[in-house]
Amino acid sequence: MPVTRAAPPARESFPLTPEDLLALAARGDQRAFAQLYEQLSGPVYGMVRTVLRSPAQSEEVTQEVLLEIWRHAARFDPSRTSKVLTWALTIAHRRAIDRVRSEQAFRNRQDKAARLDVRRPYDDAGEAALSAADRARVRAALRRLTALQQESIRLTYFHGLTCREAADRLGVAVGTVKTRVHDGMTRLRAALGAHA
Amino acid sequence: MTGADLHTLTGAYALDAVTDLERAEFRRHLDECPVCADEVGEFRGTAAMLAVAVADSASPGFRERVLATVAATRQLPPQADVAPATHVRAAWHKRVGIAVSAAAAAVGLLLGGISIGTSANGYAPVQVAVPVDLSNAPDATTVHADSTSGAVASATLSRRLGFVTVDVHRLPALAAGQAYQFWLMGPHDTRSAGLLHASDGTLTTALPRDADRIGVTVEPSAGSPEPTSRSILLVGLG
Repeated sequence: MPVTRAAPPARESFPLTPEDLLALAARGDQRAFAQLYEQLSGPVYGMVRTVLRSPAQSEEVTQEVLLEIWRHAARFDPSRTSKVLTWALTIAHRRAIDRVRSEQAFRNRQDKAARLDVRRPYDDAGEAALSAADRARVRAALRRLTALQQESIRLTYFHGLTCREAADRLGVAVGTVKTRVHDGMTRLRAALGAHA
Repeated sequence: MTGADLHTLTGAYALDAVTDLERAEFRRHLDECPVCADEVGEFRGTAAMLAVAVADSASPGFRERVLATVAATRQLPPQADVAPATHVRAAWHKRVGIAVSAAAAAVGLLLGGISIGTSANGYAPVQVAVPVDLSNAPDATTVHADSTSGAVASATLSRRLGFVTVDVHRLPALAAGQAYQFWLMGPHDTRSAGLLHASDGTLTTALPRDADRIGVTVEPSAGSPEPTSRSILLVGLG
């Protein structure tokens, strides 16, 4: 979490959910948004950074996403996405993917040898913010997937590859990757819950 | 794509692992298939848990920058959006392609008659188009420039918020198939900031720290990855 912090919220014993905070932010409450920042910025930045690697670019994308949430706070539709965190991460992942693909297309044109292999794998990500128990639960769930399910999800979600690119990397058919992503997500949903 | 193929695409779609074509196709499918739509929503919730597991902290000062920008950014009223953001993005993508090189992104919007958002370096152009009220910024400054052709420009910038708004007027008429392209220029980098298909317009964009001037060049109407001619207008940002 950031070094400097705002004063702690007055009602520490009744923590507001992200959905509560967003509803307040929708009425222009900047303090509520600052509290929402504490809950969203870690997962958004961490995920974007896992995809993009560059801390500077990841901060840019994170800032764009957080500003978009501020601007669109009044338009959040709980009937489509009940959790603000999911909403934020869906926007953020798409942004990160768009950017990494633009970059890749550029790099590939310039340099056929551009490789992604040095990317930080998800299990090396910096330790911060979230409770060790959350991380342990997610990692345990990932470990219970088959190797091909794990790899398919790792290459697509965390490295931003399309199924086709992941299939090339893994030396399997593209349909196989699509199926493994689907089956892997189904198992993760069962293990972690699906709080859409 | 067969029905069975489509159904298993929920996972790939929720993880953004599809091509643009597949995404468009699958969106149409989602309109008709509530089962798949529910599953996509659930998978996104599950993917959020994966993101939570890699949560990380941005650099010191990041929080303050975000909150300062928030304080100067107008919110949208509750009505629904005119067009979903992704459509804007897709449209821009076709126009600018992916080209370009620099390392940092700027986002922006051209008002006053024309184009859409901008892609800094041709990265995913952002619909953010933040209507930042720069006049609220404590360090807001305004600079002016003109050219021999009679075009005039003024730029209001805040280094603290990291945004700049440029107004241009009376640019010479463009030939068919041409556009004015705005560039954020610095000692190391020149980044596209947006396109204008008219003689007057306003651009608001993120301001990279090292950008010290804004140039305007005439380019093909889809834009260029880097300037292909000398700037017809230069605004020094001091």
